Amino acid sequence: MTRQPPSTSRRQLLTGTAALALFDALRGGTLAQLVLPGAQAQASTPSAQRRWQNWSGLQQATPANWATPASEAELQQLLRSTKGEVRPAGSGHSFTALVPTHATLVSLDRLSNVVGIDKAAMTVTAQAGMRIGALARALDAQGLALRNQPDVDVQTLAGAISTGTHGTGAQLPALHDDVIALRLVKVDGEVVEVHADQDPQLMAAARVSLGSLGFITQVTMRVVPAFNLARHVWLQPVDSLINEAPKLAARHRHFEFYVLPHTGYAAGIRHDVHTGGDLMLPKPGDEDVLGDLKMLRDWLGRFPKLRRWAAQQAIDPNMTEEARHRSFRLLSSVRPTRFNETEWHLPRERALTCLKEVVAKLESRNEVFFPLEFRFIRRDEAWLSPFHDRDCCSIAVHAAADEAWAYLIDDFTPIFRAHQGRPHWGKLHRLGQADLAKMYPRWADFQAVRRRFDPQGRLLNAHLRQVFDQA
Amino acid sequence: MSVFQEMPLFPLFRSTRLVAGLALVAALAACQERPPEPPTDADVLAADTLRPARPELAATYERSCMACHGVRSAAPLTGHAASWQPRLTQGMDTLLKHTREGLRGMPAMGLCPDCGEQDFRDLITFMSTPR
Repeated sequence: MTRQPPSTSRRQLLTGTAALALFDALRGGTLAQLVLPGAQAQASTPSAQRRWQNWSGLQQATPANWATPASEAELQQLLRSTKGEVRPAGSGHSFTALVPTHATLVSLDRLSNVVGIDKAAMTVTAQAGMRIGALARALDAQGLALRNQPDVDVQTLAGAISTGTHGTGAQLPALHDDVIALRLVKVDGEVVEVHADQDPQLMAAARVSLGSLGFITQVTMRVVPAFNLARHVWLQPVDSLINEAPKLAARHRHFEFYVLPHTGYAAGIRHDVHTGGDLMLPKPGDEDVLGDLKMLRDWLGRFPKLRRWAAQQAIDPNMTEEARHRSFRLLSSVRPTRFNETEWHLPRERALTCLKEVVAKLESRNEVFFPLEFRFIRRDEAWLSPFHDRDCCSIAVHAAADEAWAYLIDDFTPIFRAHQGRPHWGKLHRLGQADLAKMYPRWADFQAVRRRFDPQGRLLNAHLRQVFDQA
Repeated sequence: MSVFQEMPLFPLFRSTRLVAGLALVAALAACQERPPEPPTDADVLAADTLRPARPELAATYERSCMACHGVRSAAPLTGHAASWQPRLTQGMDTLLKHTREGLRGMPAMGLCPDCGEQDFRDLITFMSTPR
């Protein structure tokens, strides 16, 4: 077999009434409890009981109706003709149970077009079912770019901003902070336009709202001129890289690192603006490194000292990976290996101390091989943003999708909480209202907006009833 | 052939200092089937410009498939014959099953909840057609 040049890289491193009635009859009548006569919008959905699952396969549901409206008007009609619980689905990249419902699930995948670009105002307006990557390509064709991008770019705009999805960069906020206007369809079908400059309070509630206020159908975001980035990936002993992390974060537009458990090494990744013409597309070695780490675990997992010794003998600390190209081609990547994940956001001043405790706990488990990810995120003002009023670092711990994952919650929640962490809304946690209300100073304000927008709580599934204490 | 078998082993580690057990794994791996030639930068940039002729299918491709099949990734690259050949040998029915149920990094339904079987057939055929 051929071998590629040595490289290290990122996380891989390592459906008329008649039709509905027919569906209902075929399924035993459950839909009759959910849909009023006269519904037309759902006729366009191709099937009824199909199974939905998230990317990792951990979260699954078989909704009575899985609708894919092709327009905001169709969505309005659907909502007006539907009773019972209804949840939006994005791209299925949340590990928490934000999506599952036995009643009505709505995907906005067909609302996926750019509505308009205003180069004077430097904004783009897009339908909220558009995926981040698709928007980035459309922007690039116009000489524009998103300010930052998350690790993967298949999330829908609505899903990404509703869960506080972020990238890395000490001076760069999460995606939702660039949203200046949005259209939201309430569960009763009413359309609400939210503008940051006209109603900053409502916008602060809507930016990170877990799909609990309504269906976001359109988003207007700030954009920047298109730019190239240069990537440099390197290996460094863990303690040494942790010590240098604040300086590296201050110096580089994007900086993050991955701790390679049971090796003593970490992989640093930095991206800076590149103005040269010597472009080179990334050739990520992440999956290769992940395979290496897994094999090391499989062979030597029961002997942690030998495992570490072997890794240190075999790892070449001088290996690097370089790439230089458009920002959207470098900041996000495709993750071939499925995993489950927890991620918490720590106050920046406590994050590295917390990291050391998390790494020690992680390495107390011989089965661990997935790299741990550490990133930087600037503060913002959204009421339910995990970055509300404080600059943060995030610590993400992963487990292969076909392996045990409960320890991601059981082992690390106490450590993260001791350091005033807030959990990522889309990543594994078991917190409920009692804990969350203490973490978010505007919690009560958000709940007041939520009850005003959805007084019957139809947008709450089991998970959100736990989060908002509406059981 | 699994994804892992298609991957080169131990790029993280320098081969001259492998411990004996790890070296044995590497030696065994050397006996495995040769993986397809990976796409070049030119192949990846060419895939950027490829779209199905039918506008509706092109729109679906752009919103659902391109994020993984239009870039350099473990997913077979659109128009890159070498990447698709091992998949095509499995037969269309198998590819459809993998698409519906998900496989490795690919989500179930391929990020297209509104796609029917014919849509999937057309998309697979488009992506696997050599450019």
